[in-house]
Amino acid sequence: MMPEEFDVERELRRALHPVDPTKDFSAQFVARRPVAFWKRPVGRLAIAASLIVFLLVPAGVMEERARERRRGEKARDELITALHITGKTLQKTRQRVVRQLNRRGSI
Amino acid sequence: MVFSLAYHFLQDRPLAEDITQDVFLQLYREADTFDSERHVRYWLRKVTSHRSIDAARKRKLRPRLTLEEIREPAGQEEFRDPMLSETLRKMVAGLPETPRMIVVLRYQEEMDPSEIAEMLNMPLATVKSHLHRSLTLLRGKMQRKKELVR
Repeated sequence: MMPEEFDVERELRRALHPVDPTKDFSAQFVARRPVAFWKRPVGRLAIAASLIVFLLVPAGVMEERARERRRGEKARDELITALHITGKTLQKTRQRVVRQLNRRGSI
Repeated sequence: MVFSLAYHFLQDRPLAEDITQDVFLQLYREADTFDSERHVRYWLRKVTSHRSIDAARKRKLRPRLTLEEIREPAGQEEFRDPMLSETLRKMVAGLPETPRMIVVLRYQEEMDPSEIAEMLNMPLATVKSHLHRSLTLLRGKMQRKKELVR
């Protein structure tokens, strides 16, 4: 039976008693808890990708430089050969001219 | 404490759980900034109160149940069973946000009006006034129910 003087404060204390969240609340919270970037799958993938880029890019740059150096060396060799051939041709031509002049002189 | 506060204020279990998770995530991130257990408790109550009020305002929860819509206890014996508490909880849920949070903090958390005033950044007189009006309203409603039962 309701008392004549309804003690609303006492009843409020009873009504607002502590309540617990659902049973899987803790598991949900643990799942949502922030994890360090490097511990997350995405973080690990990003770190691996960074490492690959970090290792491959310098290797690629070095390879390109070596290729350029080889191209330069080849071009230099070809130039030397061309100059050598040109030198020989000039030498032969000069010798031929000298021979002809000598012949005329001897006549 | 955190879940109870949000739940009694919002009367919405999933939303109260979301708020509880958010509050604990924030606590987890700011764990280094607390210097005592009392500080943590104060911080938890304050953040939960403000987040619950914000959530209620955003989702416009207040009109979910008006005092007139609350079902009356069926008989005299029922004033001693859980129906009374349920009715009272629903009445509290029908209060506007600020007095509702004050009532929950006062009667669930057993906080003094001065502590509530500090936590909610409002004058002590305002807190006392909200408390007084809420209690009068709730008492009046319960008295009317009693008369109807007779």
